[in-house]
Amino acid sequence: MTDPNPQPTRDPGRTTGRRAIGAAIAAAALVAVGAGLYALGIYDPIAQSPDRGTHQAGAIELAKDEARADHLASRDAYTNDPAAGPPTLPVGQDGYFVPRTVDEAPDNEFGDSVRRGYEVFTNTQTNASQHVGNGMNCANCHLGAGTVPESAPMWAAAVEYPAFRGKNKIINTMEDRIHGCFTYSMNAQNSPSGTPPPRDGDIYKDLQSYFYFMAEGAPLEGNLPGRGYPVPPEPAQGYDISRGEAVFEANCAVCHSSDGSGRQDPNGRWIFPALWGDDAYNWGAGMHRVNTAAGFIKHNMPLGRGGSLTDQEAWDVAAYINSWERPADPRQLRDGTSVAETDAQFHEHTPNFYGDVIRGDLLGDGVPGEPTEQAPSTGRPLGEQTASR
Amino acid sequence: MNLRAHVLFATTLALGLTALPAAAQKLHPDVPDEGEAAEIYAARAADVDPADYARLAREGDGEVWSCASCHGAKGEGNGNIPRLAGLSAGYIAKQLNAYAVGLRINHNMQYVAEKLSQDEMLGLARYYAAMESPSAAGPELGGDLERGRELAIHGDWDIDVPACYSCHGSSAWGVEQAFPSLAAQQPAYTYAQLAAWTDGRRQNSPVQLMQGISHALSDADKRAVSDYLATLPAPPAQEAPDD
Ligand code: HEC
Ligand code: HEC
Repeated sequence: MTDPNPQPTRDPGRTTGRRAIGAAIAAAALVAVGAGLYALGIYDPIAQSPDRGTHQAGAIELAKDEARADHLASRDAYTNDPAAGPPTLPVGQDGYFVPRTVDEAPDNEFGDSVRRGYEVFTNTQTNASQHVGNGMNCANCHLGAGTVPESAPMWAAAVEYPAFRGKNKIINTMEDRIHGCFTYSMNAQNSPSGTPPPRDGDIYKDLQSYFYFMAEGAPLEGNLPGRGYPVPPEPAQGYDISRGEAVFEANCAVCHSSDGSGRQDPNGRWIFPALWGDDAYNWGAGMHRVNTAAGFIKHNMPLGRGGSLTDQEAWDVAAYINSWERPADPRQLRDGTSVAETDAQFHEHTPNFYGDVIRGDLLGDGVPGEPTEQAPSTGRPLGEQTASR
Repeated sequence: MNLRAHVLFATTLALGLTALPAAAQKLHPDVPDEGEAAEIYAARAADVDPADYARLAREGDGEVWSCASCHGAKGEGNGNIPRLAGLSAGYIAKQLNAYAVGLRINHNMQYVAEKLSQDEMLGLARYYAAMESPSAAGPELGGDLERGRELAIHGDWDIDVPACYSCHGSSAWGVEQAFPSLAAQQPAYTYAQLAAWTDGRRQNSPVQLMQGISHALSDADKRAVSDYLATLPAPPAQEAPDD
């Protein structure tokens, strides 16, 4: 690079030491100025959202609409004449698949089912209340009603089932998958009915209609980018509960509360879902694994500031929230096994704290407290146990 | 190393240091940490009897103007002066303290807050939290109400903005102490706050949540959502805090 303003003369009297002092003073002055500017919040636009604040939202939306319109036009052309070539994949400016949205659902029976599915997904507490045994809605972990990339979006999931799953070692249909979410993430064992929705029922049909509708145009087994919760690489330092506690207090407690129990609004609705304890997902849920939770948190938490934690912070805080007691693993109750047996059978191959003794508490028996005070073999759902004490 | 190299080095150093994220958000030595402030004040306010401060709110006291002279007899607000009725006690006390130490900037509010004792702040906070009064707000910024409703209920994930309701509650009546009610708030006030977080005049907000959201919202979005929130039914009286 040519220098338009070359330094005309250099002061030969300056020693290296004086230069260093000069640099130090200049640095201190700039630090002071910088700190002042920082305090004024002037860096916030740089630090938080590089090029937003104008009419970005409209432009992004427009690009998505265009991608969808192109896709539909090319699909129709292909249907009419195979020589027209395969349809385009609808993707937005960010490169992610553009799902159809619920307000585009048709005015017929299928559209009704899509809309019901959306209602179950976003307000599971009310619309599937008989089968929910905690304070959760599906959309608590699948943000934006299951549309947000890297938040295990349903448009990416819809085209991946049936599939073989290591978790239960059988072929899983989408209905099986949803059944599993009710069993573990929604803790159906503690729900009014005590079970997930009955097989082949409307809840499954409507949820599947909603997912299927969103995924129109996605390739089968496409393994689309944005699927699942991409797990950041495990940091060299591993993960640590006490570091995680500091991350939690500074970034999470204001919403989820210091004891992880979440918060309700004046209408009694869960606004900030519980992260551990009675109202949270149980020990069989995917989120209890430190790696899975680290992936979710890294991309989605703190809400509205996803991506702001380092990989280390995400792993540490994931460890912290999963180092507390939560409702029992339903497979333990089903099989009548001990925590140790359940641990060996289902929790060996992933990073998690099930069956460990932490803060003097045996995790997995569903009851906080001294490990010695606990019934030795089978646990029961947290709610029942605490109620009977 | 020539002068430009010095400057480059110093600038890099300065930027590096100042860009370090504050682990816990402590904005001022005299007020509690951002994330806990509202709960701490609410716990302190539990012992204060709001009835003792009703006169101060309505009539003022010497140099302290009455709150009602600007915020209205029913705490309903007006123009860019906010509604106070039904906000949580912890949130109100946190803001009064922020004005008193100069952390929030508003000439009139700083003048008043500097003269209030801690007990007066807590008592006034509880007085307004317990007040239930009908909405006196309506759209006045020419915002697109349809867009405002969309932002309030669903957010806009294209720009990483969650729904207002996902933190301020399903009727925007607030959630416990830290998340204030937005329903029936004066739209000019709501808009002014979003603008102040954008340009850095307002600093306080846990985990810098509102700074991030305000930056992401365009001016039109800010008007839209402020106007929409003004159309909502007013919040009920807050429950008394317990310590
Ligand atoms: C506590 C958080 C949580 C809740 C609540 C929850 N899920 Fe999930 N869900 C997960 C996790 C974790 C995964 C696994 C993602 C992974 O391993 O990448 C998952 C995966 C899925 C998948 C498969 C995704 C894929 O790409 O294969 C579907 C389908 C699904 N969930 C549906 C639901 C439904 C329907 C509900 C409500 C009845 C629900 N989930 C509630 C956490 C949750
Ligand atoms: C601004 C408030 C806020 C902050 C701060 C926040 N969360 Fe959340 N979190 C939410 C909300 C709201 C949801 C549910 C999302 C939805 O329904 O759209 C959620 C969902 C979750 C979930 C999945 C649901 C569940 O209960 O299991 C986890 C896990 C989680 N948050 C962890 C964290 C962690 C860890 C942090 C700190 C790094 C954090 N959150 C910070 C508001 C917040």
